[in-house]
Amino acid sequence: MEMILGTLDVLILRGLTWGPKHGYAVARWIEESSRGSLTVLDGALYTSLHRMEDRGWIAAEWGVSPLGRRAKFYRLTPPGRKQLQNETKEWTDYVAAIGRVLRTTAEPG
Amino acid sequence: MSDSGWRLFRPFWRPRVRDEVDDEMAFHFAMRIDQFVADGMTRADAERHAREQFGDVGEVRATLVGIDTFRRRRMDLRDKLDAILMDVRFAARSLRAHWGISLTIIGTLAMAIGATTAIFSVVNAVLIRPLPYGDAERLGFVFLDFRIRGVQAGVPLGDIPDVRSGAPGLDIATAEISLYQPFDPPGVTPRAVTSALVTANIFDVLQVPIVLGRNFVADDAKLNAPPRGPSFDTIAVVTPSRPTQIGILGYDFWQQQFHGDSSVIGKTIGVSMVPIQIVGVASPSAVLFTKNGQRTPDVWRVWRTDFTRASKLSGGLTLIARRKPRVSIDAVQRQLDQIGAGLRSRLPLLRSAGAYPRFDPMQAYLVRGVRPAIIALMGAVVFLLLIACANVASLLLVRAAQRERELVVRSAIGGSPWRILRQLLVESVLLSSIAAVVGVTLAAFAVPLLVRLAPSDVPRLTDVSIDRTVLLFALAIAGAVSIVAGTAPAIRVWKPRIAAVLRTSTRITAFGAPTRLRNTMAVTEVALSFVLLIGCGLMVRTFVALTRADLGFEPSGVLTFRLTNRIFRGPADFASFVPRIHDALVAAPGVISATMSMALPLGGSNPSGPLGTTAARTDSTLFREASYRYVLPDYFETMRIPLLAGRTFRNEEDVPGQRVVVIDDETARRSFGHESAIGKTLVARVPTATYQELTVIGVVKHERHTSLVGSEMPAIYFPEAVVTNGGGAWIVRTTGDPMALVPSVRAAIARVNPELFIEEIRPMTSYVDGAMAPTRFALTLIGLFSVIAVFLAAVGLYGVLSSVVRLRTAEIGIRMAFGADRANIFSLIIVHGFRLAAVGLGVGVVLALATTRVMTSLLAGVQPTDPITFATMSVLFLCVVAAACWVPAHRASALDPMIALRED
Repeated sequence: MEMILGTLDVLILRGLTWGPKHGYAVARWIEESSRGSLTVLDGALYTSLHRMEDRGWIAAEWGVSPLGRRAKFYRLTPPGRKQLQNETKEWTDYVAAIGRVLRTTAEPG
Repeated sequence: MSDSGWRLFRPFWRPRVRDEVDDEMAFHFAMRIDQFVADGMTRADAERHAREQFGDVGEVRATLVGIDTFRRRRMDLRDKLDAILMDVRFAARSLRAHWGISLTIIGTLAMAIGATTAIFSVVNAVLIRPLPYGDAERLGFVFLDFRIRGVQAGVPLGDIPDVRSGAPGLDIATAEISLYQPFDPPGVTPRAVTSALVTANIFDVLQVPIVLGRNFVADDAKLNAPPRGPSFDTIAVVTPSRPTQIGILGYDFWQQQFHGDSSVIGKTIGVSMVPIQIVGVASPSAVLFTKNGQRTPDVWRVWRTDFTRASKLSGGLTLIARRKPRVSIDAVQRQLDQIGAGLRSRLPLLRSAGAYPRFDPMQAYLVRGVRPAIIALMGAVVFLLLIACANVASLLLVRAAQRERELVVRSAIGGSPWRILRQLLVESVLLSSIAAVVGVTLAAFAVPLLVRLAPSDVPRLTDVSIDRTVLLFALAIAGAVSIVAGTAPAIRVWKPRIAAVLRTSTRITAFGAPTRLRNTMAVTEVALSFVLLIGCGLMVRTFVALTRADLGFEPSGVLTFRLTNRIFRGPADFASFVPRIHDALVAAPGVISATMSMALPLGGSNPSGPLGTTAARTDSTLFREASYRYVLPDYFETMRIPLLAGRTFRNEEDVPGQRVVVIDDETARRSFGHESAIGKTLVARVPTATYQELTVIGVVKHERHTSLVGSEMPAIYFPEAVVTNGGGAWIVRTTGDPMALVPSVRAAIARVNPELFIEEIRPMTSYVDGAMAPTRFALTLIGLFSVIAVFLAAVGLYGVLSSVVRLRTAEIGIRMAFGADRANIFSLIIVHGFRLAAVGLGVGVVLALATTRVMTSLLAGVQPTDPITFATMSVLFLCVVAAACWVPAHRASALDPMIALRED
């Protein structure tokens, strides 16, 4: 399944809610939590990460990965957390609205 | 190290954006490949698969580097701005906390910047800025210096060819200005114009460009009219048909009268009924400078004359001369000296008068009259600047003392010296910036005010603008003072004697040395301001002397005006013109009497000539220069000049050839000593070119004609004003306000001839005012400066004494405890103040004696070392000192001993 444009950001933000992650870990989290049904180009993921860092939603810091390698870890900032809440709400409202429409059985008129 | 310290070094060690992006991507690929290998791929497949999974590696990498670089730059900038903003906010808060002292510093600096900039802008406009000609330093005037008679005169027209051929180092031109010429092009409203009769090479010599058409050529001056001297005795009664002259228009005149229409070239206009064919338009810089000011000719016309056939005895012209390249002033003067020797050997008249041709650089010559005043003002404003700087430095040191502990504590708890220094720097810069803005605004207002106040004979004051160099200089000085004095406290932080400062119990301690410094500053301020005060006192004395000056005539109730030169329709018209004007004026309502004189007393122009007793006929070195005054018979009555002996002119004597003269008491004394002058014979050269004998019929009181006080030429009055064309000054006496007479005068003139223009209609008192203008100008400015200076000095003294009181509070407490009464304490402080003031006053007196000499030419009726002025000003100054000391002394004596003792 292809990603709907603009939804990658919110997925990444969500992925960071359990604590700082490096880019690869975020990619793996998306793959696993969608059980492989969402395909994201890694390049797009990193672009999104850097953009959100620029916007101040996430902050980056160099650290050491569990396997002992130097890696860049991203964590949510308070504005990022707020952004995630808003986007999540918008998304669920949107899905609910679409769902309601699609589930309607009554003939209009 | 503090945050700001780190920031200083960060650009050197932090990794580049590109490396960080590469590191991050390398980590990602390593992880991906490991994952795919673990899933069972071969390493090559895993690498390929990881790249596919990533997308366009190169493009993504470029995007990431772009985003990060941009972000880093933005953050760096924000950091810097934040730091500066924080410093500025902190500085502003700190300045506000000490708002009294901050305002005083800003006011003082602003005043100094404003005054210095304004005065130096005038200095620059008048003394320094080159004249508006090409290569103006090479231009000069050539005169004849009549050494025996002590006057300068023009070169007689007939001698001009000798000067030209004898001084090959010079290019010589002449220009004769005529004001108020009737101008009549067809279809245009008649108006009066200023015309310049010039030699064809004038624009080449001045190096003024022609913007339209062509320059004059030598052929334009081709002779077809007889040579004409500029002196009034050869006025021609013009015939209607005069040959056409070649003319070039002034730029402004071309714009106003012809709206910049280029088709004016080739047209013929009339000036004083002379047809003038226009061949060009000169650039706006085409102006002429004379001793009476700057003139912009509306029409330049070529003089058709052959100087070789002109009289060697006629009135002369000032020559405009340009030194050729690589010819020095000395070389030019040597050439002129040789010419002079030749002239004197050939012409006995020039020999007996001691005539020496002289070259004077143009600019220096034009400003020689105002130079002393401007130099004096410049000196005054420099003094003021110094006083202001001393004051500001002193005030900043007070602040430094007040906050020394704050700084030391900040340093002790880890404030970096850099940070503290920067903070002080920002405060100083903020202070001087505010002062600069206020100062420049002040200067912008002051310059037009100065120009309006200045006497009208200051050349080139028309376009004074705030000079950028001067402004930068003043800003630099003020900035330097406030920065040096403002950051001085940081020394404490660099030389850590923190413990010493914190341990000490007095309030102001480590700045003991600056207390001495501040004493010195106060003494300096007192000395400098005293010099200014002396200057002011001398100007006041001069001003009083001028207002009390005996003019010899009664200026109030007198209206004066000039009529434009007029063309006459024949000898009868010419002869009857002046009497008809005179009769019309006398008949006008409100007029008591009316008369005419070629030159007005104090009016700027002062014709003069040789005058001697009969002894001078055989020994012409006995001739002395006298002011020649051509008047109508009732001149003395109208001007109310007292008659001392004999009689004045009778009405029938106002025709040429009467050979009777009236002299003033100066001439009588110099010529005849104590003998009666009446009936005696004098020898003068008027109105003819040869000497003739004149009989003295009356002696009148000396009438001031060039200045209000001081020595000036004696005068001789001739009754021949009637032979002039009415181009002199008309003088009308009335009762009450002379300006109220203007309508009836205009009506009277219009009845004689409605085409006559009336120019320069002014009350006589305005000429007297004009003669006082230089003194009033210098007095106003020096007075203003000295008041400010004395005020600043008083503030300086007050500041020193206040901190002395603070310093010695504990001591005062002890003294009181041991029985000193309030009067003792009071005098303790007063004595301290007066000791400083006495030293300053002593230095000031010496300084004033040494410097007021530069004012000599500004003074009248008072010596630059006038003891009365020195004494009066000393007393006045001591009163100011007493006032400045009073408050701190009173505060000291009013201290509660118990509180004083507990102080620290």
